[in-house]
Amino acid sequence: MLRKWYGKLILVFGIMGPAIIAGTANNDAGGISTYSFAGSRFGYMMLWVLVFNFITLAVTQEIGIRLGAHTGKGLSALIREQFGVRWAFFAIAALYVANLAVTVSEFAGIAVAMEIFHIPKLASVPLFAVIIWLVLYKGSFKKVERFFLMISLFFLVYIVSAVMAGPNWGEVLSASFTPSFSSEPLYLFTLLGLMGTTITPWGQFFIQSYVVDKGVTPGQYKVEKWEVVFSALFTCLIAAMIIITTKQVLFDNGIVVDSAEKAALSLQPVLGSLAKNIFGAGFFFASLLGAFVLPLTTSYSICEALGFEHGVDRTWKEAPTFYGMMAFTIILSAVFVMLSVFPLFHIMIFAQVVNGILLPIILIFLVIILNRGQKIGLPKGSRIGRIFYNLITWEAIIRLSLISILLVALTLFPDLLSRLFG
Amino acid sequence: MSYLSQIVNSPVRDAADRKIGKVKDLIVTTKPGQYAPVAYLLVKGKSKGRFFVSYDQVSVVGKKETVLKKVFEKNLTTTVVVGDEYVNLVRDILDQQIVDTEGARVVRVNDLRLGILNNQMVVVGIDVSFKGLLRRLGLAWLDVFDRLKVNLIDWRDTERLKGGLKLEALTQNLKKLHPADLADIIEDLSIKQGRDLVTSLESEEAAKVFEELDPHLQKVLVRYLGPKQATNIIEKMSVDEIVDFLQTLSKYDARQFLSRLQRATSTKVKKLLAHRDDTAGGLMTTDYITISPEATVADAIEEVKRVSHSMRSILYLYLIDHRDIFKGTVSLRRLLIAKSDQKLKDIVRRSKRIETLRTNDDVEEVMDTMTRYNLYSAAVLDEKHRLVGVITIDDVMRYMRPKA
Repeated sequence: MLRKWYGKLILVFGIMGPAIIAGTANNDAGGISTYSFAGSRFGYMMLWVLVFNFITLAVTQEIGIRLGAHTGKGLSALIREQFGVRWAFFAIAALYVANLAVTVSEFAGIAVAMEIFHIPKLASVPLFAVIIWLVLYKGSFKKVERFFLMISLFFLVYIVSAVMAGPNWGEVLSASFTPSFSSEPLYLFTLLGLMGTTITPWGQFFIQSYVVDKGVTPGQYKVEKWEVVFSALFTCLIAAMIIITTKQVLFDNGIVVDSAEKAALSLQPVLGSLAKNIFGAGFFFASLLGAFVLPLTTSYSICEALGFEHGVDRTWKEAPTFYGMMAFTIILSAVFVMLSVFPLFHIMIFAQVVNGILLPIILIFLVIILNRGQKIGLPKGSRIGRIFYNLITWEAIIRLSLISILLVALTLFPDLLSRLFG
Repeated sequence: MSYLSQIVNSPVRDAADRKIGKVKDLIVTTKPGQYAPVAYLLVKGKSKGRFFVSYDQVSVVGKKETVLKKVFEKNLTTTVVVGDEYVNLVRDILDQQIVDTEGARVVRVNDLRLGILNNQMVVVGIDVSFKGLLRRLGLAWLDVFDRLKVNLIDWRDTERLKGGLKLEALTQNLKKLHPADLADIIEDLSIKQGRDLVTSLESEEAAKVFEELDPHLQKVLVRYLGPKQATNIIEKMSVDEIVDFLQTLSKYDARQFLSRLQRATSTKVKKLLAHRDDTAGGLMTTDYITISPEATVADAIEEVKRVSHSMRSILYLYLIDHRDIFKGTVSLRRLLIAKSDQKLKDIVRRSKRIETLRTNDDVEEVMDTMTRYNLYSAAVLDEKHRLVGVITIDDVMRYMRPKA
């Protein structure tokens, strides 16, 4: 009995990872920025979104590991096999745009964090672009992966700061479960960003490839399933804590976050005069982690769909497209950040919005593949389960699409609503 | 010569030049070692849904159009085509992965090249090139200067994967491959397909393939195979490879495996496990033939015949006395040219010093000794000069070239 329990525990820790990694990396610098902005600009008005985010994230990631464990294939390979080359091309084009936006956001995060330490972006960005390339090219990312994950646990500090800020927890709870809405374009914009930063196209591809690479068996999938739920909860909890902190410390004092320095302000009650530097360091490592993961997973997914050799265990000669695309993504993002005249902080939030707009495309593919069930080798599930998964995913698809359309419409025709209802 | 992508969606007309629909798929019959002839065309009718037209009914299949021999009537078509030998090119081959047995790799099918052989349209090759990809996307015009090359794989050298590996066909093409090539293919496949391939092999062959796999994949595959099947395969591996494999596992898993192995194997494995893996003791194997110096050549040859089936390779016989003290080696060549009544101690290689290794020599020293004296294999002795193992050149080779 004891031995059995022991074995199970090893199993849990052994495969602990994919969801935690995806979850932690989801709360990257772009995420922190978006949550900080949302909290400082709209107070608790956005909290309810996080509850939806949690459900959507848990369900979509669970679909990802289920597909991975049962088919042994990545999402882009499945899309190619199920929908043919044209649809696959469409999907990876959407994925590429979204991922490029996130990569730009990660480089912007590096630049912003370095500026806190008075290092100009024209020096920091090219330097780290080269470092990132070398680490990825040498295939040594796996060695540093754990280190980064440890660092990103730094953002747990927001739990402490949220508690210390002494919010009215009753108010927090009621705001979490009562959806509030505003037709202000900035509200919709932030709403999309909030969804796009938590549930990402790349995260969907990443988790499935990770599960396939690790060789999670259908048996282990049952353990993994709970990890996904736990990590989704964890991701959204941190997000909520950031919103609570920034609401208490900044929103109530009329400060809107529009730079990393101001985002750091929210930690001052906890970290005191060190807030800026500690926040800067955490922000930097979170961005760096993202800047490693994104070019890699992008190139991996695309090569998988198009049938080019891929994987970090290949050499440049064996997999030129794989490495070429990785280099291209890094260079393009770095140059964009270096030349950009827009405030870097705005770029970071905008990247999350781009993700939110493109996410429905990927989710539609995901849910259709899931519905092909036994045809692609999934076990026969219960009908109620299938309806549940469909309901949650389609809800997210429709919600995201509606908000995107509304945002575009309101940006183009600011007086749309008053004309309609006035 | 045309490509599948150019034929799909092209119009179908009958002998009276009436348009009756569009080509949606080609159905071929497959036989190992032959180009696959087209048997049916799947046509999407203008209104009446999908039906199959037999290839005999068709006079031309081309990029522009497909023309039927007769005036179209409903009784010329069938609604179902069933049988294991039929493969739908668009549904089962296009965009799927396929094993290229010639190149020992797994590729994704971008397009299919069709040709005419004895008045019969057949699938000649698989296009895996970027140009094929552009053609599929309708972007072939991007290649203005015709710089891109088409990369075709001969249809006969391929093995399809969708719908599970066809195990009967597998014996035809894949079995000719060297275990290392098979291992490469398995590394490219999804883990499930990899498992299917491994289980379709005889356990001895599977063991050889397993030895060649990347250590990470070995671990994963074992989980997929389940303890019983995995043990069957691992037991057939050479002892030093079993040790290497067990060393990648956690202590708990390794002990579990060890307990499932046969007594004789597990004792040998345990002995080797005691050594560090970057020393001669860790590199060596205990699969070798020992014999007394007093034995005759005839005895030795008998002994080789007796144990040969359980050995991966035999280059030398190792002479030890009754206290296991190492007395020298006799090569198979020497055995062959000696008279059968000669005693082994009389034909043993005579040199001032026989180059041997100690269990705690590190990899560098091992390589040094073996390259300096051009040894195919070297005996490993303990401090009392007793023979405890043998290192062969293939155990050392991987240290000379990384990533092998």
